[in-house]
Amino acid sequence: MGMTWRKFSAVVIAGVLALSIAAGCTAKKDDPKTPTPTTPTTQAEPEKKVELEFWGWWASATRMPTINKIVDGWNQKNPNIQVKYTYVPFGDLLTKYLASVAAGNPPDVVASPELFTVATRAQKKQAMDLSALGADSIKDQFYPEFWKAVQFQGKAYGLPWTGETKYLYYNKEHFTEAGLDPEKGPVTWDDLWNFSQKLTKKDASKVTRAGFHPNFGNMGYRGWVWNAKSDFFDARNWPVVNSEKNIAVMDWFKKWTDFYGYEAYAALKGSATGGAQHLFVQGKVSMVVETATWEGELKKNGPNIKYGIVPIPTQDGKQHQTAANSGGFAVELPVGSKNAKQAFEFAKYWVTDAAVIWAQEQNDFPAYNKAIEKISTPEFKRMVDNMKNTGLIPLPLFAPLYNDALDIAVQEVISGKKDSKTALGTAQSSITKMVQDNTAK
Amino acid sequence: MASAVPVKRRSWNSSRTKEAIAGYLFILPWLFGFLVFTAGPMLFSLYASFTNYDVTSQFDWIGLKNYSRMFFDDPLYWTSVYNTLYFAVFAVPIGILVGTVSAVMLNANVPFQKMWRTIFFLPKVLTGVSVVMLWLWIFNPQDGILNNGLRAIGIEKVPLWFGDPAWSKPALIIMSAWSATGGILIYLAGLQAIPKQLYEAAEIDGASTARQFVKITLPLLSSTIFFKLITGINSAMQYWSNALIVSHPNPPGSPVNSTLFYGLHIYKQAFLQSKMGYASAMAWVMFAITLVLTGIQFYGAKRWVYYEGERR
Amino acid sequence: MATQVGHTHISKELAASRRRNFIVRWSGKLLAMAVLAGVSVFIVFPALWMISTSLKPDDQVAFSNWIPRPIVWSNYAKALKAIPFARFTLNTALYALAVVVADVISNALVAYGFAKLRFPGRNVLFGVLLGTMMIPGMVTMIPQYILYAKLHWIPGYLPLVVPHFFAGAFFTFLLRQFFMGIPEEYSEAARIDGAGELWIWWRIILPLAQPVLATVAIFSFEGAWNDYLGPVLYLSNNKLYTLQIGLTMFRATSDTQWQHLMAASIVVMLPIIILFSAFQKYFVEGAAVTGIKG
Repeated sequence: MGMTWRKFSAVVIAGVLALSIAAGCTAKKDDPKTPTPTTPTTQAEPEKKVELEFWGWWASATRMPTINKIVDGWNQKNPNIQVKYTYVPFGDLLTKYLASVAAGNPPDVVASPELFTVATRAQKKQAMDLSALGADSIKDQFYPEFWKAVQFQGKAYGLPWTGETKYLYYNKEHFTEAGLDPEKGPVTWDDLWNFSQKLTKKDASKVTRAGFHPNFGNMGYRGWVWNAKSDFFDARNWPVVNSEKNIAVMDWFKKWTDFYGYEAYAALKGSATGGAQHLFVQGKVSMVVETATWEGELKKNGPNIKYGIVPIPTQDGKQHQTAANSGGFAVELPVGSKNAKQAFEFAKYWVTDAAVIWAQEQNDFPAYNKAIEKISTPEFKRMVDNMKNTGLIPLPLFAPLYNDALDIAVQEVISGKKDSKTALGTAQSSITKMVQDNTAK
Repeated sequence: MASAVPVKRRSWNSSRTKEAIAGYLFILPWLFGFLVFTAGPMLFSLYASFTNYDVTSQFDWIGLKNYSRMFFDDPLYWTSVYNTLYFAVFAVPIGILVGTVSAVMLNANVPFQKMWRTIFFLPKVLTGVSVVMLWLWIFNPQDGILNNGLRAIGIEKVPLWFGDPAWSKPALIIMSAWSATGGILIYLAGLQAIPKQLYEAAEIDGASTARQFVKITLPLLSSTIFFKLITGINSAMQYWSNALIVSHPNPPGSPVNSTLFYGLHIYKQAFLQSKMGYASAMAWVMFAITLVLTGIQFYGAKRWVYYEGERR
Repeated sequence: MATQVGHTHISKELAASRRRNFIVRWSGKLLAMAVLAGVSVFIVFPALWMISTSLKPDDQVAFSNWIPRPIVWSNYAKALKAIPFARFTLNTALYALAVVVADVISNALVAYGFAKLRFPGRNVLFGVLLGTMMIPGMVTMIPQYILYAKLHWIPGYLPLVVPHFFAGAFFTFLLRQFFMGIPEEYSEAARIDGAGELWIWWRIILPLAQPVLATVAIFSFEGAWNDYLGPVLYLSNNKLYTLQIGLTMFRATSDTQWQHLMAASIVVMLPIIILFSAFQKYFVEGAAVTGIKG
């Protein structure tokens, strides 16, 4: 065993060393980062040919056909600006983006996985100023909330790509069963409460069907605070977490939890996961706030559910800009990218015409307000109509982790450990501290 | 490093010089790699710990501000220290116990030995996000297998696991105990190095299995156990990525910061708040803590770790 | 068939004691097997759950039943087609192979130096070596990335493979412990005969350390096979990606196909399990340490 094994491994070593060095070298040669401005052989075009590197997070079989269609379409029409798409896993895109900017070899265009941190990256000199490249000239092509979201100190640092909105979904059969008009969904917070009295079904101490709970679904404490026309930071960006209104919303959360009992609430919340296990799909809740695109999942996982959609109820029944909220995606040009002008051209295309293609094929909602001319499904129209009720609220520059403190407060109040005023008071102090620490230097 | 053999004066002993040169040559690959690839980034981060480095826009010297903030002005820092120590205190001994006992069992001549060993090795291979998601399902308070099983044997008030700050760390410790069997290989290799004749001689002398274990196995396995202890402490101090996965979609460290480990706190500061300088300071303090703990173990090792072929 | 009374008498006792030993040994084995079986259940059930999930149809993925009804074998075919499995496997295999070779050789060399050779500063340098594993990687990640960028090694496999040729704390420490357990008498005998350290290392120490070297090999292989952050950070060419990156492609932002992800994860895991099972004897059968002392 001894000698032959050693000889064999020596050969393997040599072979593998050679291979790995070869692999390393070829990878280097393939490096698309070095923009080779190849002077074309024909004399007609004096323009430099450029290859752009474009990072995005799509790779699944559902997404890729559309991506390829868009990129290939662009490449055909723009022989001097060739785009190469590279997949980067969603969870690590920001890290890789950051590292590449730090090292000075970033891609040319990056699909930004977080619309509401564009301003943060702008402040940290990670994303490029696009107003300087002429972005302001197209600002009217986007819904105003989206355009606002990519601003930092009056300039645009990203181009908004897609977004969302949210609705209240309700189960029409549950309504009929409970003696409610299935064509009239809730409009106010009181409606939610009153309807739930009839819709909720209990079985001893177990709740088999809950009418509604603000912490189910996709709204969260923050969403309801914004819905109540309040906020966590004032105009000077100082925290006002424990304002009267916010405390009232927190009390409202507590009211709902007490209505079911904490155990029942926790049991319901714990049994909910995604897909077919969603509480609404399981029939365990009659009304829930969810995103607009979730409708597709609902149809797939609960094809027999007769549901209605209404805008999210507000305290007084009137809709306003932040009755619903959403996140979104954008494209950015990393600082240090070498072909900014060409990259900007592609970015513009990506969020306008390409966004329409994407929306059509992927059932998504673009920030481009002209998309409605090409897409006329009722779902799409509904989304467009709700945009005036949808706020896109960026992450505060000086307290990016403020939601951590809020989440703790919600937990404490719901589980009965603290009352709203105290819990929010604690959150206010920690968030104030965050802001102080971050503005100190 | 004084030699115990004072035959010749060391400085004129050419065979010792030759040995020293050979020593340096053997470690040269590491030394070279360290100087080229590792030392630079380490020193960079040490320097960064005295600055307000945020990777892309600022890098100004601020002296000891990061350190004073860490110790005196950041309650979450102490939470993270507590969480990490809590985890380490349980996970490290349990890991060593599980590993040693498993390896000894798997070393004995049981039928289907090969199959058992492969099964015990599985946790080493089952890593990654999908596996952690599996555990989340297993630990689901309502429908998870674990709680279903507990209810089946009559326990009414089942722990809420990741839904309860008091039970989230125990859940992670259970997960880590499970992974510990994956390390049997190292113990098995260590057990191979124990000469069989020692056991045969003990058998002839009438020693019981337990006595053999205590008098032969443990001492001759001590260098392996020591290795596992040091590396165990080290990885427990840096344990955090599972916490990120189990907290999702709630804020990292949920519930209520009970899974906010030291490493997770560093991650949040570095990447979610862009405070790379502060994160670097925390990392170097962790380095110092680990160094001290390791140093203590090395000092204590003289009393219980045995090397057959040591050269002092 | 004894002819003398005394002989028969001793035979009976011997036979009885043999029978006793047999019973003790086998009940011991049965007990051990029972314990092993019990613990195995605990170990295996996440894996079983994974397999169960991988065979479930779309809409039953989060259900808590063990046996899917119906059993969807086609999930595996779908999973393998969803991403460029063959290419990723090739990339990952080459990467892992290069890393294993580099790790085994470099760490064996360095560990020998620390374990068996005396030189000034040995303990301090060993401390520095250990120190390198005590720094949380997050804070050295960016400066390291910048370093590799300056070397023009990004994107590519060089930052992932090259450092393994220069040894590392974990494996060097492991091998050092083992080398320090090998009695000096073996090396002494060779030294007296005039052998150089490298010869001793190659011909005496390494063969004696086969189990631990095999352990280093499989740990190293598993590390590279399952390496995620490194490839994500340093590779930018879809064609060069590894299996772990491939697995992330199943996780669309809204609707992860868990059954396909589990099926793919299981397929990704199999090579290591097969390697371990096939090469088991290298891990556990050492070259006989016959002990010069007796």
